[in-house]
Amino acid sequence: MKDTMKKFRRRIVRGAILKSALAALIIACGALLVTALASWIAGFRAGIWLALGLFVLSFAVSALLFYFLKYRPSAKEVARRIDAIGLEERLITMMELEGDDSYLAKMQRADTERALKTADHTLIKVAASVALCVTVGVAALFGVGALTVDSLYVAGVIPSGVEYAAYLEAEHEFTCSYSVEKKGGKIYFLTEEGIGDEVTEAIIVAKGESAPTVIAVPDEGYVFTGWSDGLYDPVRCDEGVKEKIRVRAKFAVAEGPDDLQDDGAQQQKPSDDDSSGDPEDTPPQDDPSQPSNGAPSNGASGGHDNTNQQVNDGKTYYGDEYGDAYNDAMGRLGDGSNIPGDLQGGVSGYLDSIGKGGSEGGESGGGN
Amino acid sequence: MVTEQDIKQFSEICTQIFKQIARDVIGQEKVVQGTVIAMIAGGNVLLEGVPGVGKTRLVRTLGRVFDLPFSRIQFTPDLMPADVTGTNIIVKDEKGNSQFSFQPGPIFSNIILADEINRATPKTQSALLEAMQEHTVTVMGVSRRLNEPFFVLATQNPIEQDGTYPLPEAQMDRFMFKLLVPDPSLDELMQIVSLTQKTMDEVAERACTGEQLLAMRKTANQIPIAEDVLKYAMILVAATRPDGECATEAAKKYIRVGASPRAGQAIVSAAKVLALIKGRFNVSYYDLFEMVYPVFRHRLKLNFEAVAERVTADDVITMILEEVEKKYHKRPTAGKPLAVPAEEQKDAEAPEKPAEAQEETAAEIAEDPEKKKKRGLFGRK
Repeated sequence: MKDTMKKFRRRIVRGAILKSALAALIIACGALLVTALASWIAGFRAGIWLALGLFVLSFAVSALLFYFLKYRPSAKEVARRIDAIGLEERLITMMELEGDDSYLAKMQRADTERALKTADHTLIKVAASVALCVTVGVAALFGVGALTVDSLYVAGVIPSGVEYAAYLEAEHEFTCSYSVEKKGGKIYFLTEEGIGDEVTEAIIVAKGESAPTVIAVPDEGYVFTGWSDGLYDPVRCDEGVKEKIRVRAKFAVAEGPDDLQDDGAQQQKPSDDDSSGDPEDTPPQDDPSQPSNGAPSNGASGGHDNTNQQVNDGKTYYGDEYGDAYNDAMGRLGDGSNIPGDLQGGVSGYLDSIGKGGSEGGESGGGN
Repeated sequence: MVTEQDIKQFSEICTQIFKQIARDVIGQEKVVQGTVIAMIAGGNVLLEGVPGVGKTRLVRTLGRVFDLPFSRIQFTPDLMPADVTGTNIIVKDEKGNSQFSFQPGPIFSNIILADEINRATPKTQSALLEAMQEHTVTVMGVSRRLNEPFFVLATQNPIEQDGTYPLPEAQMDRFMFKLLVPDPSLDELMQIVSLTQKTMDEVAERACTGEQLLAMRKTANQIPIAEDVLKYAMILVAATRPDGECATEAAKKYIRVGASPRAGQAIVSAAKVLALIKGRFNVSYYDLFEMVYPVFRHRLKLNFEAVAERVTADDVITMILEEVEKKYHKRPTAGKPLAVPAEEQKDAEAPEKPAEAQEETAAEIAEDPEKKKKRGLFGRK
């Protein structure tokens, strides 16, 4: 009987070994994945050998554990498996009748032996479940993938995980640097409460985010003449940052009397809203931090220059003084009276300082 | 102790029984097999079928084949319990003194044919309860033992419901099997007609005596059943109970009252006889699978949802078997018979569902509106 059962048992044991090996492969691939990934992330070049060693070790250990603790078939399980191929529970009953010398038990044993001899042992499949095979496949895919990544790193094809993380980090952040070109003023953060701290270092902004609003404030005796990227609005807010920004605020020495400066609106290009057309229509603003149209220009995203206002000290709006001086000068020209020298010098000095002095100065001068 | 002689006798008598029955009853192999199994196991049988399919003939034939006294009781609404059990009557002795004397009813026989059992009132039906379970009859406070072996083979007609009284649950549970007697096939019909054209005589001869039948029962009871198989049988029983620990979804959905422990005893006893008839000395899962329909179908009390959806007891049993198979990974398979012709082996490899299980499942009925339409009210075809 035992000899007859041997070929069945052998196949069942083979099946158990196969299952143990597959289950162990899952564990080994897991170990491979973790070790290879950790080595790649940490930039540990010898890690590939460590990963392979751990793979082999964990496979061997877990295969043994799986076989002896889980898949090793007991005598009863062997009987159940053989019964399932058509022996109609003869073997399992025979096992329970072991030691019984009754006629019925003997007949049952004889019947079982006869059935066992005619049974086809190849009906016992040496196979594993689909779920186990799929799990092994997925685990192997991840394990081999991690090993490949680690190998590529060792070969110098790709950077290590840390380097790559830093690279990705860099790709996602940009520096916005606001500085003063030579001298003549400072740049401050502009908040809802007003002017805040001075901008002293580059600001790091995440990709697509907006940089904080800043304002260029000239020192006494200087005027703000624009940013190095062509914008004229001292208040700027760079929105949707997609690249590194490096701009400088330009200041120039104010010429002429301190209290007489020309209204830049007369020399600048008109702004988008037509409120700058007539200096008298331009409302004076007590808060120098607010641009004339109520919103800061949007810097790199394409703002417009609005030179209707000039803020020299960050607090006082000089638009009225310029407007009054200009109107005074124009009124005198209209009356045919002479423009006093100080008034003429103030107007032309201001126009010169904003680069419009040539034409305006010439025109006003021509009028004289 | 079972001896070689017992096994040999069992085998020979079984062969003879089936051979003799086949002389009078054409076809109906599953019904014949079920009835013989129940008789060997000592159970009562309820045969359900339309008129004219040979129920009464089968029972009469069994009476002759087993060479046992046979009584036929035609159940009618006016049948009284005393008409079944017998009663005390006043008789005069030789001296002219009057005294009560017990006049045994037709139940004092070995094989009782309770024809159209559902036509009698519950009171009369209940007269059979004690006889069917304890094999005793109590009249006027005196209990009398019935002859052994004792069987009740009852018939009922599933179509005519007017003037019938459904059997009470207690009585239903006392039937080991409920066998559905199907209509004969075309070939069987031709054989039946050609046989009865020649003669209406019943030609089956005696194949077994009452004592031999009792010996066969004793032998069958000794057949071993593995613990795994016994557990599976009990799981099947428990799976029919909607609030039991092994309750299946089908049981929860369609069953009001599940199978009783008596069903567990019945299925194991019947499976042992079936195994021995097949020449095997142990019970297999497939034996249980074959016996589960006749043992369970009359014991399951279906709820209104099942009635409304026209789900029969057999449909529910099929669902329960599928669920149990999925849950416990037990797939009953018929084994290949040993040293049998290749043709028979082929049949064994692809076992047919038992005849009782060949009815459409609830799912099939639900899918096919035509089938649904064909079913009459309350699930009857």
